[in-house]
Amino acid sequence: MPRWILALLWLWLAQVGTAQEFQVANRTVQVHGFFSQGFVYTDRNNWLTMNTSQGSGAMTDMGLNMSSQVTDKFRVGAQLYDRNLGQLGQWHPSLDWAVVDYRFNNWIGIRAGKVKTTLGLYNDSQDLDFLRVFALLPQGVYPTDLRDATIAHTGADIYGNIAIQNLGDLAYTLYTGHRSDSIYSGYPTLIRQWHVFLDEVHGPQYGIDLRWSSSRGLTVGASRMNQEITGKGTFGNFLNPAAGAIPFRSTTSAYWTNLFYGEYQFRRLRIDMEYRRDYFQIAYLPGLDVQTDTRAWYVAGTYKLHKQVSLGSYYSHYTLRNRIAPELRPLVGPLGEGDASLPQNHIYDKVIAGRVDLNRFCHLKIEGHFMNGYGWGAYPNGFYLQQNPNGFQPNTKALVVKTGFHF
Amino acid sequence: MKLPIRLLVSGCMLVAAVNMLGSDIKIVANPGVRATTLSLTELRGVFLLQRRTLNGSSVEPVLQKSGAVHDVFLQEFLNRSSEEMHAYYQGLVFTGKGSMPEELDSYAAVIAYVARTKGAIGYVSGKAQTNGVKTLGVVPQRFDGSRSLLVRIEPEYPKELHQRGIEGMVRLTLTISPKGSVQSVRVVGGNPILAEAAVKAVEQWVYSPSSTTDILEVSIPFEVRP
Repeated sequence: MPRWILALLWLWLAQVGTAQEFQVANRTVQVHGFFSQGFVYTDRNNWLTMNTSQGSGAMTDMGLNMSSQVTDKFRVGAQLYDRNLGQLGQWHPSLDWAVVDYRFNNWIGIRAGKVKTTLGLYNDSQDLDFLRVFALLPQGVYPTDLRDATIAHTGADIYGNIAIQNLGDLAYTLYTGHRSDSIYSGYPTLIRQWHVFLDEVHGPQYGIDLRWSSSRGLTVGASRMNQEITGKGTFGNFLNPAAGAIPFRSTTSAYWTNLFYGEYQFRRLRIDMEYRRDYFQIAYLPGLDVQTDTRAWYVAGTYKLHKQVSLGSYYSHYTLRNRIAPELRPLVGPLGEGDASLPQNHIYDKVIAGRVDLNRFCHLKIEGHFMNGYGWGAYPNGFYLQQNPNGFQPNTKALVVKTGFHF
Repeated sequence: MKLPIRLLVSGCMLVAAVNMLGSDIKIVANPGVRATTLSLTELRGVFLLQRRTLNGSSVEPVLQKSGAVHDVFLQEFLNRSSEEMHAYYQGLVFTGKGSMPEELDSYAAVIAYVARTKGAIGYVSGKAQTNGVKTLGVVPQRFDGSRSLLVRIEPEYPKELHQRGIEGMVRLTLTISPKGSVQSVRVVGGNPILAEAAVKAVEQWVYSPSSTTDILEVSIPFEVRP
């Protein structure tokens, strides 16, 4: 989409300046939207599929939703989403969520359709930049290039809240559904470097989230997700290009994610911490497995200095451990094998950030990343060979500037 | 912490919270809401959109857009600033997990909306006129973590005051025995005649047993229903 159209859209939204409502059959329909534009500069490696070492503004996303509380128990809504983040998204809009929601009572409700997946503190809200101080969530736990893998499922959730008198509230979500990745997402992009061109990435997933919140600002919880994902496409026969592409199809034989998290808010101070472990096993060629085990955690703190100014910092720790069938090693190299302290097997990211709210609807953020390692493996995590054809440097500093608008 | 000190500290914290509620903020509800009181946990659940029913009737929160009462209510009862509360609702709206509650400009607008909207619950200044709505008392249930109210007797409205349309809120401090009976009642505030009726009723309340003697403060609203 041409930049001038985006600029006009942004200006129009700024003029609108508030959420819109209209009536259909005596029911109020709410309209809300958001838009964000970022710029990233890195001193060495290119990051997040952008040419960031030269400075890149290819970091745009937007969403527009409509919803209506049809009765006191029944609600419907849908949101369109579009993004362009380097090679990800590429301006192909998608239905972000579309739900019908029936709440029987406080402790049980059903949500069906395309539903945002509850996983950890921020999975379902990871696109909503305007809700937080940081321009980028800790990438070890919430890799933006892995967004499609966990963001939503087409299926159903059972959810509810159980009040435990003055001991707070216990919230639960059980879900099952089907995941379908865009071909412009992280996995297809990642494995193109091994000449695998995916046309489809999809499969069933199911999981649970349990979280307890006190009445005084503390939340702790845990999430678990299981998946069985199939990728279909072609395998480029680079040893003999004249023979043409070979059909490729592979399904994970194990794939799960665990997340444990806590959040505490005391007046202007907010502290978050999460631990995530992902494990999957897949045969890229018949009988030749890659097992990927990633573990990540972060600690983040934010402080509201003033009604319009907030500061924040986090430390994100990500390690990668792969086991690769020996026959595959000549093709993919030492992919994530060996000592986690090696720069190819980890990313340690120290971040400082500031946010200024220009008004109730617009904000500006500036953020510095000081990364050690590039964690290059069979798991999308920001660093790709396609944008770094000469290999990776062990350290990367990044400056992220981001502005956005929501209504 | 020794028991008397713990009781004193917890009692003071509660008195502070409920005094603020009783004198400066009124919780108002549509007359169709089947409750005369709600606990702090219930109040929080309603405004965080986690609790959609109260005593079997559907409820929806109504907020003010800004103002001192709005800020105090959010900070004291929901532990959030106005901006954080707005961000919380936006998180639900943009993930398809909730709708933005009604936000209104003035007490009068809140009262008018609550009066005409089934299940609506809002908050206004303690000095605001509350015609057409009911005022809910806030009962800090299970204040010590183990108490729940087992028997609740509603007070009788003194006939003369009812006929004259005199309304009010009575605030009482209760001392609950380990067995759960109300050992003593002290009037903290309110019309003396209404307070007398409230004390008579509250003395018959029974809480669940506990290993400690506890001090609770309750607010009892008296309203003339149309």
